Amino acid sequence: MKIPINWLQDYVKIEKSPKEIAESFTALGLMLDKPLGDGKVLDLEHRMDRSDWLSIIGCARDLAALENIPLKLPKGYGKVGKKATKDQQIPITVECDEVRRFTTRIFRGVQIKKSPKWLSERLLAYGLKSINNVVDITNYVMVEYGQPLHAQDLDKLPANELTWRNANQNEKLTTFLGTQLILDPSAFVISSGGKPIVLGGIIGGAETGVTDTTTDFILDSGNYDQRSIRTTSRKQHINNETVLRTDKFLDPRAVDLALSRATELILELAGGTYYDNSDYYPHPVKSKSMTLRLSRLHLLSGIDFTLVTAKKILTALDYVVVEQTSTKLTVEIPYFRTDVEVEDDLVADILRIYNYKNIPIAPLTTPVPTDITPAIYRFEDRLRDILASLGADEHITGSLVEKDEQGNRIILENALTREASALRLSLAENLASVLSTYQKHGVSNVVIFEIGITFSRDSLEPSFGSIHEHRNLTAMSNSDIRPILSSVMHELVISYDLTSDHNIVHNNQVIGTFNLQSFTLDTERSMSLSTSYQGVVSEYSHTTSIDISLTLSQPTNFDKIKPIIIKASKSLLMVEVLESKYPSLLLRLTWDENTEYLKEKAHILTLLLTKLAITSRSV
Amino acid sequence: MPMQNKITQIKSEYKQELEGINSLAKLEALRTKYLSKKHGLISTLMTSLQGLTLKDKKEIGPILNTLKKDIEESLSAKSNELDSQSQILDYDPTIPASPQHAGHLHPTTQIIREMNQFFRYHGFSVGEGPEIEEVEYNFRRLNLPEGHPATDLQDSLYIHEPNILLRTHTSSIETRILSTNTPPLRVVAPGKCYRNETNNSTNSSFFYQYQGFVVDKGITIQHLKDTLTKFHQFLFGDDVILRFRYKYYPEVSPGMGVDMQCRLCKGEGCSVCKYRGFIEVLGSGMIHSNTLRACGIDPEIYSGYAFGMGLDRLVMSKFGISDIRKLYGGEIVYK
Repeated sequence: MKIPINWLQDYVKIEKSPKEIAESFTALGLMLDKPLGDGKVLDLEHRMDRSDWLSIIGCARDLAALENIPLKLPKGYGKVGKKATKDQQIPITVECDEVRRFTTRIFRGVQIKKSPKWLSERLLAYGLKSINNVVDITNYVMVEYGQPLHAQDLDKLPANELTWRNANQNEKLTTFLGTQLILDPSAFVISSGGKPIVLGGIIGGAETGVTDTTTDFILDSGNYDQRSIRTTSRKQHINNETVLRTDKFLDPRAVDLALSRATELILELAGGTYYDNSDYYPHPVKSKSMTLRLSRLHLLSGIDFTLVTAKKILTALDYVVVEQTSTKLTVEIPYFRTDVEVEDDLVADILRIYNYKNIPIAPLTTPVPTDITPAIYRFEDRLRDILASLGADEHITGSLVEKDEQGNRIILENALTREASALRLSLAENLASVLSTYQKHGVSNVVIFEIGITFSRDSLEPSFGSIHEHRNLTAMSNSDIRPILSSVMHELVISYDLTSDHNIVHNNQVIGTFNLQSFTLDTERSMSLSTSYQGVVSEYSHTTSIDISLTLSQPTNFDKIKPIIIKASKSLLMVEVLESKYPSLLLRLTWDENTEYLKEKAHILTLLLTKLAITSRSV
Repeated sequence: MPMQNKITQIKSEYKQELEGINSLAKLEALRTKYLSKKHGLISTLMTSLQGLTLKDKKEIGPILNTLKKDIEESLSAKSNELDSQSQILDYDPTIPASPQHAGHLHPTTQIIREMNQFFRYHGFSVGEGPEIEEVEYNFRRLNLPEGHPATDLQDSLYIHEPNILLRTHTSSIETRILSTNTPPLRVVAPGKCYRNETNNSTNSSFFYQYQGFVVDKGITIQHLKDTLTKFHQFLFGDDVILRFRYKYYPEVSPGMGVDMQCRLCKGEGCSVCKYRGFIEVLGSGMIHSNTLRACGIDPEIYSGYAFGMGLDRLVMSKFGISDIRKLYGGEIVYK
């Protein structure tokens, strides 16, 4: 929102530099968005909730309250218009729901000419071109009060009536900028003699604008369904000063002030006679009140505001106090504050005008609550440290991938691109491309890992219950990953076996999967199996290892051989595969020194021979 | 006696020669000269013992043995000395070694850990929530009813319209935790969020946020200001200059924005801070009474504050990465 400073000064006589004024606005919630430049116009950021900040007066009001300066409002034209005869009136019919209010006035015998300098200069500083006095006034009042108005030349109306209705399918309307629009029934228009002449709340048509030849015109201001305007303006790619305001919820009562002000200026600058015409307002909005308890103000701010201070601030913001006790204020919410919903919004207004920089700081003093950090969070962090200590580098990759035909993959309904149209089923999908990027740049001998969420669904039925998130660790390398897996399991103190169908199992429970270059562990299952501390031995014990060289009579996976060895030996600590090249298999068996390991070794060899026809030659 | 004179002579000759030894090679030559079995001077003397009388043998023998022993010991000592000297000569303390390879944690993990450390110190738990969320937790309980512009369908990624989507902010973790726990609560929640954005160097369809909230009896905006002040000092240094201002967010009232003064231009305005002089860091406020109520907490008994910030810009600036796609696309290599 652009605020030309000399325009601002009409309503609030502030004697600060542009920089200081910008600082005040920033504190109020309107941050300076662009550099000050020559300091004549402030370009402020606008947030979506305050429609009154799209008006100079709305901004001036807040500034006046903050700076404790009186706000000076325009007089407006309070008198009722002349009574028009029946054939002088323009009948207004409303046939669509989107119009909440539509008020019109007629001006006859006006003189269209150039606007005075003060008017055109202000418009220009704001960023609007000067057209003629009447058109300029409608723009001026729109920027001043935040309520759009429109003027149409009576002689150019196709018929002596105006009808609000929804557009017909493919109905055409040419805007005053010369663009032809093709409409549909979701848009609503003013038509005259059946012809659409205005796209409601958005833009006027080419036919009926006020020009140098105009002598009589109809002025209107209305209140419309902002959601409909939002949809239509986006569809038609129209984004102008009117839409900026009408696509937000405005209060219908804003119409009165805007018309009054416009009337004042029109009579002053264009002369003529003013006649009331109509006011379609079937459901007048009643003002809302709200109560602010002093205790609530104290609770949220921690500051001992007095009732007097609270009242002063709210009154400066145009709240009207309707009831007052020693503990609370009941106020009528001003029509332009469509954002105030709850009592705490009044607290917000008071603190805002008090200025946040004046709020003291106070440390938390209530007792520290119970820790509710989930154990899995801590476990996964520990896993990260284990992997890093083994020399692996962590990556974080995106969850969105290209969709495919896998039945359990979750597809997005409104993805922007094909590359990001579904959710990943595994971490390996992305880690593989990280590795290939590395390889492209000549980085090899690297182990990477990610701990993250993967997603799957049970069925096509997209209910919340059939959608699953899984927590995984995946590690990947361009060489054999099994040493890393072994080290991780060793640190976690989880015994495991590898099966020929590529599962990692513990006591027959699957806790992960693997292939030569990557493995994936279910972190939740792993956590339940992992003890907290790696065992530390406080007394040295000596082990003895024997290497045995085996010859297989037929291809046999280690997962068939290991159980037999384990079963045959009571005190075996460890069996490792040193070399495996069919038909030879070289194993190292390790026992505690103080056991009958020779006996156990003999028993193992006997069983291997009888059960799997494996012969041996001790080394 | 000639024999004894010979021994004394050899002894003093050896002593002189030993002093001049400055290399292991010369030492070996000296050893050979005196102790070699065949032609060494000591061996030769030992042989010539045979021709002596028994009385002379008994007298000379031990002297010769002692000399042999002394020579052996002094050679050994000299050898050790030369060894350690050569080690000392080889040792150049000014040669640094190359770093050994270690694994690294991702920059975002590192920053999250640092932040968690700060908050754990202040009694916060770390909370989590699902990435696929219900509209109820992602919008409704955050005071964002249907039709609110912030819930525009085009901004969220839907699994199934209108109710199941990928969470658009970590605030959904807040509503979940508020709905399933009773106060007092102090929680921070880092997490991945998703929006329907086209990817470029500063925007990604997924990004990290860091959320925090406190709900207890008597929580005021002063507590919020205090926590945020200390947090910013932790992140950016004790000399950070902060600006607190009113800012609107649907899920809080009063809402508050926190900016920090641009270090480069000290508030004057430059390209880094988009000429504003300040850089927006995070949004915060007192949790909206509608939100507390929707989560089953009575706002007349409890009050609370909440804050949320985007993490990626901070991570990228701390690690010198300019493109968010590289941060999460595997195009970072750990040095």
